[in-house]
Amino acid sequence: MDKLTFWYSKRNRIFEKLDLELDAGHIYGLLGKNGVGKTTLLKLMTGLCFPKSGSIVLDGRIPGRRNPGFLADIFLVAEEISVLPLTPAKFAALHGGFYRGFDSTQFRDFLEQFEVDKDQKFSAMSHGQKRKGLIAFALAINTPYLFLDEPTNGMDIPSKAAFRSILARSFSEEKTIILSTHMVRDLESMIDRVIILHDHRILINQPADQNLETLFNDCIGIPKESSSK
Amino acid sequence: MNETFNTRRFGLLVRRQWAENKKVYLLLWGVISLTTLIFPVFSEKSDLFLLQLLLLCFGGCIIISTAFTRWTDIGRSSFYMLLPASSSEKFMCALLYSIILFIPVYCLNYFIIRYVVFYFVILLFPNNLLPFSSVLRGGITSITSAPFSFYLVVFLAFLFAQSLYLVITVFFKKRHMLIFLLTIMLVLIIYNAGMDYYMSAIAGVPRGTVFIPGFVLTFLSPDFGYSPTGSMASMEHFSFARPVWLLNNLAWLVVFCLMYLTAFFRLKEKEL
Repeated sequence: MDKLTFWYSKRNRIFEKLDLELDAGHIYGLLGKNGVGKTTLLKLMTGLCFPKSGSIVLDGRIPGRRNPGFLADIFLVAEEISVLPLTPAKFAALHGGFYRGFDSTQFRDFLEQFEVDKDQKFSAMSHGQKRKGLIAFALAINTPYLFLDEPTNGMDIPSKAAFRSILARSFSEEKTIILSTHMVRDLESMIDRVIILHDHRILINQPADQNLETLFNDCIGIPKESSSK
Repeated sequence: MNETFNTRRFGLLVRRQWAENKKVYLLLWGVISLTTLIFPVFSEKSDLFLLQLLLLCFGGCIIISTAFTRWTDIGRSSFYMLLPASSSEKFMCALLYSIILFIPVYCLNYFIIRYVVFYFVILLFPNNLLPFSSVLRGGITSITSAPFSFYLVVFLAFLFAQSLYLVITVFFKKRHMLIFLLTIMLVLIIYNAGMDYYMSAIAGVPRGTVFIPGFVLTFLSPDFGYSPTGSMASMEHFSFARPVWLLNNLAWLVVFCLMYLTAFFRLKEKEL
């Protein structure tokens, strides 16, 4: 990402000359206050939005072109989920073929670990169940790049633990996972690099070798007392 | 990897679209079939053509909207836009259902209802029983004997409604149907008024000749949408009518193709 500038309306710039480089083999934690542009950054990286100036290149390809080869290498689990009125099994049968690395055995395993019924329709599931079903699919397609926007939203405590375990199992050196979250504690153990967005730019892009909540609060200037409340 | 068109990905998209929309398609089929079956009982024969045309256009608009909701609906669009298939494959898949399959299926359905279901109704009255083969033959004859121009104008009317509706759904977020109806009326009024003026100017018709513009769809009438109500002698002013009619249809066809292309490029460049 090179000198990327983006806005939805000119008066309200989201990013101003943003530079960012990602390396394979890491789980990145994308942190920032509400409205700072975490979801927008994921949209830019996946090609759902186009930069106003500057450029984004992912493995030599421009996301905004949405070429099938590029799209087969990425997957985004958005915060708002709207899936087809199908069962997870049928959903995977219809969509797995689009991805080279889809492993149906892995998918069934992940669903079992998440305690999601593969034969129950998504439309009859709770928000958390839907999210788990989609995350199971996202991890089973084994794309080199995986973008998860607030992945633990709507999950109960056992599901969060299952998510961490599945994520750890499915991760490999060839993959890059980007987790956008404001629930730092849920995912702190998983994140090995942290990116903090603040005030239209990237404040930090470094290894996550200290307490992320403290680091985050220190960076954006939140006093300890108010953060603990 | 072929980045523009791949038959395997296209096949997956076709399967996916059926799985996603089969309930809507079956419901639409039910509505069209029931209307086709029930309407003739309560109406004049002359209204039937208009009904069929409206049903065809209505069905075409519904199907195209199911195909493009996934691009325009915020909740669904991120997933669909990131599905590993090219924009042309996604667009072609939508056109496959909404034009290439819909029109033949619609015609076949109409044929079955009119000539087969009605035959079974006749069966209830043994005195009037006709052999099934003669009903079938009659149906095939009436289909094949209709002039090409008839099918052309029906097809153009369908494309007109569908491409306009598609462009409206792509460019406007809300009130698609209202904008669609207002636009369709505006286009036809402007077109009719313009052609009235243009035809009067180039034909040099005698004073007092009254033109009746085709209010619903001008290009439906092979005399270019204008019928002289005065003496038959004024028809000579329309000796050029057929080539002009063909050019007129061709021009509309180009306009409709441009509208489909506009929608395609707009969707291709769509941001969320």
